[in-house]
Amino acid sequence: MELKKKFSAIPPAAVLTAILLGGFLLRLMRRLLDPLISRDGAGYLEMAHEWALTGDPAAAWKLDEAQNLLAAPLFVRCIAWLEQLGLSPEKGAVAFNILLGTATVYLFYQIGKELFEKEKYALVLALCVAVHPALVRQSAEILRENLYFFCFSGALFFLLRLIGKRGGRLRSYLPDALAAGALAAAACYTRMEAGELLLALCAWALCRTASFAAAWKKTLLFAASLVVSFFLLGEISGFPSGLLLRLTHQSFMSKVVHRPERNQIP
Amino acid sequence: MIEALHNIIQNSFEALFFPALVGAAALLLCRRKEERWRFLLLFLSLMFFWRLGARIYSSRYATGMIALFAVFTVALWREMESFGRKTGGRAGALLRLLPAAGIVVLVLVCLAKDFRFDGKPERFFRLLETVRSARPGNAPVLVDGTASAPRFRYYLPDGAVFSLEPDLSNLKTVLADAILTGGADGFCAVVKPGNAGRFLEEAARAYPDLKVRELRRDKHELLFRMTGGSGMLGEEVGEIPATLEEKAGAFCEDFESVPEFEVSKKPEFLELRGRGMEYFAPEKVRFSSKLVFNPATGKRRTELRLTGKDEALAGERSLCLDSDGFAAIRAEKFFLSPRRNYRGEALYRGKKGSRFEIVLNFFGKSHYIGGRTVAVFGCPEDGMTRAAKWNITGKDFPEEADSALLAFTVDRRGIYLDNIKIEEIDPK
Repeated sequence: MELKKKFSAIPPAAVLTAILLGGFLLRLMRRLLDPLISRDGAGYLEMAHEWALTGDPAAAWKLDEAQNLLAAPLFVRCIAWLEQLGLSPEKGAVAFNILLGTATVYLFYQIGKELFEKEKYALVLALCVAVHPALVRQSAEILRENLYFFCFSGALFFLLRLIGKRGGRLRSYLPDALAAGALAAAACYTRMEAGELLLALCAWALCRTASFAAAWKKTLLFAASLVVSFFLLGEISGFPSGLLLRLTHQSFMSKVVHRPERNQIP
Repeated sequence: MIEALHNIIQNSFEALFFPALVGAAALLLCRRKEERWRFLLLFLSLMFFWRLGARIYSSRYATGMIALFAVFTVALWREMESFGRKTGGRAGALLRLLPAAGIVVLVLVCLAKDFRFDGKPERFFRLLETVRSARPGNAPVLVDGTASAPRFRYYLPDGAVFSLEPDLSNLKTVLADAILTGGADGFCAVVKPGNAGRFLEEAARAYPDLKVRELRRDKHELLFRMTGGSGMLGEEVGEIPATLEEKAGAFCEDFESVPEFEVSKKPEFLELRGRGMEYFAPEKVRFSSKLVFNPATGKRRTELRLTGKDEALAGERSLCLDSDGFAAIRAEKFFLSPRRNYRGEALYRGKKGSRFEIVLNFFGKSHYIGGRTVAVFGCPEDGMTRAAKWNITGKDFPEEADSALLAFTVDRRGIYLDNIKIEEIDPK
């Protein structure tokens, strides 16, 4: 009992700080102990370098041997931005991922606070995410999944807030719907599966117990925000054709020719 | 579907989280009517069945689900605590304590896994050194068949790295210093000069209209087919199971006098260096006399074992080659001198539809030249023991061959072999 009291006396903010710091150090140590760049990571660096150098996304995709990044270019774009800022692409990408991974832990603390009535559950949720092996690995490597998971979790957090909101006023839904839509769009540009968020919300709106109108207002607001953010983000990230390019994936790829000058025989 | 489920559990949730997820989902389904939990349950079902149905076996494909596993694991703790409080007494206390202890165990297991390394970086950098040593002082020309070309390009900025898959049709004229084959992060064979150019010529000739997607999907199989059935690279990689015999000290055609032994560690690959090859095996792969991992077929399992009397074709023991991919046996005793005539025979048995090939592998002075299928034997019906007979004439050997090695390969289902005999015959 004494021990329990002592634990309860520790302020949650201190526990959260310790979890965040622990999560950060775990990711950093993992990176230091396992410095090998993953196969995909090396591909992203190569493409980002090309993008940063030419400013042309099509030039980057010529290097995409797996041909699966055309629809999810945000991570590569982020590394290209870092390189354009003068950072080393490898170190910049790793630092970016480690910081993002730590920020995700905080996001989960917020999700926990949203879902559970007691703060201790939120802290345990943050702890689980801080130590989860797959997440630690993803944060310590140059992989797009880390950015995806951050955006996805952020979108989930704002969606949960949106769903929990009471009252029928459209204005009260707007901030959460916009934030959720923007983050979901970013997640879609990193991994296409993030589109499931919209499907799940539609399924929820069909099975809701609360007001029909309120549920569909939330769903439509989110959908609208997602679509608008998707196009805006496409413009900002230098991917102007956005959705159209995704739809014409095949015809675009047929024009892409792998550059022979990449492999000059010494 | 089972494979997808296994993959989701194994790679994305960490096995311990999965029961927590299922338990919480079940409890919440019964107890919580709140909208947010309803949404999360629907979302969970959608993601789960989507991933089961999509048949994408990438662990990273399930990344998004980690968010839900974490939430539901904590939800299970909360539900059990709340249930324990209502129950009261010792049972209640236990219900409150158990999930908390479970979370502690979970966190400890996670921490342990965070620092579990599989030795990939060491293997990779060792491999890199070998590639560099292929042309000392100069930038090496590397052909990568492990879908790791960007990574090699990154670590060999001064070299030329070609990817086997998209570049294959353009590789006719490339004289590579090294070719990498096998699993991307598992086994790799480095083939040094002499072999490489020839291999690429053959591949490009055999497959002028290669489609990239097809190659990606069925990479290993293609590597086998490239040399016209026998499989040059596959055959080389398939040599690993043969170390079973080498470890035993002797290979016996009738399998009666193989001494009992325990193969508990991986074979010594460096001994193959003399033939211009190196193998880099992941540490975690365990070899045993019962189960032999065949790197040529990725994660597929290959079994090479000696049977007991009840299964034997003749005598006390027979050899069983069982595979859902590709397996091969070969032994020093099956090295043949070129341009001579041989007659061979063996007893075999298998399930209906299974088959095996007798393959001749040719070697030059220092490198592997190629292979040729001498004969194929099938099993038209279950369980009948048959005699396989084949002849090898001097014409079967290419001009440049210095030696040849006979191998028995099976690529479908189990084959039992016994009483293998090879004898030289008079050309007349």
